[in-house]
Amino acid sequence: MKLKKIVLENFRQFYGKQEINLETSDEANVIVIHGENGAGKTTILEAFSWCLYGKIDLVQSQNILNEKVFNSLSDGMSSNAKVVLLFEDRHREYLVARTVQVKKHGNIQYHTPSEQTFEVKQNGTVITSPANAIDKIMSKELKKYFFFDGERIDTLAKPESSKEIENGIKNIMGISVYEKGIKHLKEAKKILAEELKEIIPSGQTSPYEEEDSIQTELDDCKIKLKNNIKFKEDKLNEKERISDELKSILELEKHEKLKELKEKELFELNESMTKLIEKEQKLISKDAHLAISSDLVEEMNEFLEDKREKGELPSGIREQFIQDLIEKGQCICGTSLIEGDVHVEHLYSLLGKTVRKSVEDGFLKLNAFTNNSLTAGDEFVEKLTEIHEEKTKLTLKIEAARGELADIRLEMQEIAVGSSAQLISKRDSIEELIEELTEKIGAYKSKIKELDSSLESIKRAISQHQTHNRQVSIAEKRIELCQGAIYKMEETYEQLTSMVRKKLSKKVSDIFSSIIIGKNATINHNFELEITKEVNGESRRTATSTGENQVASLAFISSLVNLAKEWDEGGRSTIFTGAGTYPIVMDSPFGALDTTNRDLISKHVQALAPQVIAFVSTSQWSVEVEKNLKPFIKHQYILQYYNPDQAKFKDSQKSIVIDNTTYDLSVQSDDEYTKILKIK
Amino acid sequence: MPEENNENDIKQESVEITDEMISEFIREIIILEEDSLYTARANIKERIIAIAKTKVR
Repeated sequence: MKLKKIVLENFRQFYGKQEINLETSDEANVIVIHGENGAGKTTILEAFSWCLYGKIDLVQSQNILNEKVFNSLSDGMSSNAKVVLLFEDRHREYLVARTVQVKKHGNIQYHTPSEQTFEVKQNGTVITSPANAIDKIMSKELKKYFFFDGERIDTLAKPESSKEIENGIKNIMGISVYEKGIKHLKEAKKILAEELKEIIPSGQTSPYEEEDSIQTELDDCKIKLKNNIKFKEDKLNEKERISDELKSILELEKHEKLKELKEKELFELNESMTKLIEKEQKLISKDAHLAISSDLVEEMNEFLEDKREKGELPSGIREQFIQDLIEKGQCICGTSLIEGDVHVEHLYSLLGKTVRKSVEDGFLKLNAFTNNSLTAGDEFVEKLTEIHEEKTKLTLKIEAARGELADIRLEMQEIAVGSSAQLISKRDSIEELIEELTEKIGAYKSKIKELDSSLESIKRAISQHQTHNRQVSIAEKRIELCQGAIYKMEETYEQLTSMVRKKLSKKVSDIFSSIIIGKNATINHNFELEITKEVNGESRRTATSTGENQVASLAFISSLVNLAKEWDEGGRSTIFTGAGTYPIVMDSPFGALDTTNRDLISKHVQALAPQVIAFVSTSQWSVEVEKNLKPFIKHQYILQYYNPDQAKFKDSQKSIVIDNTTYDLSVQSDDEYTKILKIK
Repeated sequence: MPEENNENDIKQESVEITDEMISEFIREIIILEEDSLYTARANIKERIIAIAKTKVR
């Protein structure tokens, strides 16, 4: 979507017919609209929304018709308010026009949705379903990411906005189609399973039914696990924030730092314990049988030895070796072996004791096995003892660390008074909750593992399952088809989501760190826009200012716009259905930024999107901002506000100097309305 | 006639769910979902069932 023109006709404070040329070029992609508070910046932003979707989010939203026109009407008479938007999308030109007929009823502007007309022309031809066409180009869901108020955009960088970030990513990149598809497929499969149940002869069961019930339980567990992990992370962040606060309290600083160190130590000890337990389990599952069977092996060895002594088993001398000596006529010690001599006779007697080669080999293998088993069994016991000793040492260390931590906590409680005592008590309950959540998470993980393995067994049963009832077989195959599609779609969905999140995160990080020095912003796996700082080589979430949140939010939106454009140009719109070109239209882009950040971000405004429309007030338009933006500005407009109360404006808000020319922003008048002036 | 029916039965029982069939099914579901994004079409699951029934009969 590339905006070309907006025309306002008696819309809110815009009297008569007024227009803004929004056309930009690749080199000059910024339009700046100057206006003071109340002049109509937000109204223009809302005019886009009203024209495209019929929705308006302003005070007295019923009052769409310009007041001057409305006042001139006699009671019961009507007049029209209209917004026309011209834009281009995928080489097609669209002309969107929305008009409302407003009737005067005393002081009330009366109109209903039926009084609205909405027309969309594509390359000059009226299209039959205009709302669908607009939704295809930019759905209502997506609009909020491209038309926004810069002063409020910082909320995106708060953890509670993770759903909005996730939805933005999924909708713009078209991944939500998979999410919805999976949901509908599961519902369809359930209905098909119920149909199958009805046709299965009584007394018989189908593995598909069981699969369905396990799958439902598994899905439920996965959702609960995800929610608990997210909840735990939130609590960990909350804990960290409180810890930072406590560290800033002089009398608690030392204890807090000590507590942090002890916690780190305890965490590492617990990690070592987990690894040790894993090592122990691995060893037991691999070699425990050797220890258990060592008595048996020993018994077997004694038995074999006895047989060998009695000459019932090979003596250990190979039959082939004796035959070779006799044939060669010489012993390995050099003695000649002559037929009939005592040495040869002895060799013949040994030959008599040997058995067939296969038996001999079998015996040698068995003998080697029993001897190895005995050694391995001993080794196993030795290793296990070592692990147990290590475990005992670790347990003692863990107990000691826990004790020390409890002491530190106690000391802190004794020192703390008033608000710091409250903070400590709050943190204590958060820590308890974190422990509970850790246990819950562990339990869900084991349950998922168990259900996964049950599902695997059911899948094997399904692959071997056969029925001779044709009707049942067809019903089962339909379920199999749905299940197959669910597996594949889930896999694709996970991969796409992760890939898009990582790509966007990288872009957000690049943009953010180029503006805010010393900090970084990323999209974490919970889809939170997270601002971090390097502390002792570790990336840690940090307290943020509104300005930093605003920069992170802008970086996120810009990353979305740019990735959607890149994928559209790379021909990937068939996979990512939301890929395309989007403009950014923002009111107060430098909303809550301080002078330094405002000047810094103004250097990047032109790179935020292929087309940027920015509404600014005089307080945001500094010499530095003007200098940074000037090379990229295609057109500039002034919203000249005619009003009866000039006194409410400071002198600095009444006019603006652009390119050495002074323009009035506020003009004394009996009526209240706004004129749009183009700066030459 | 009964013999013909048996033959049909055998043919139809031999329907195997292949990867290709699943991929084609997914493509159709995605088209349905994309379409529904802009038309607020209801009953998607019923339409999915209808597609599954056409593919396996």
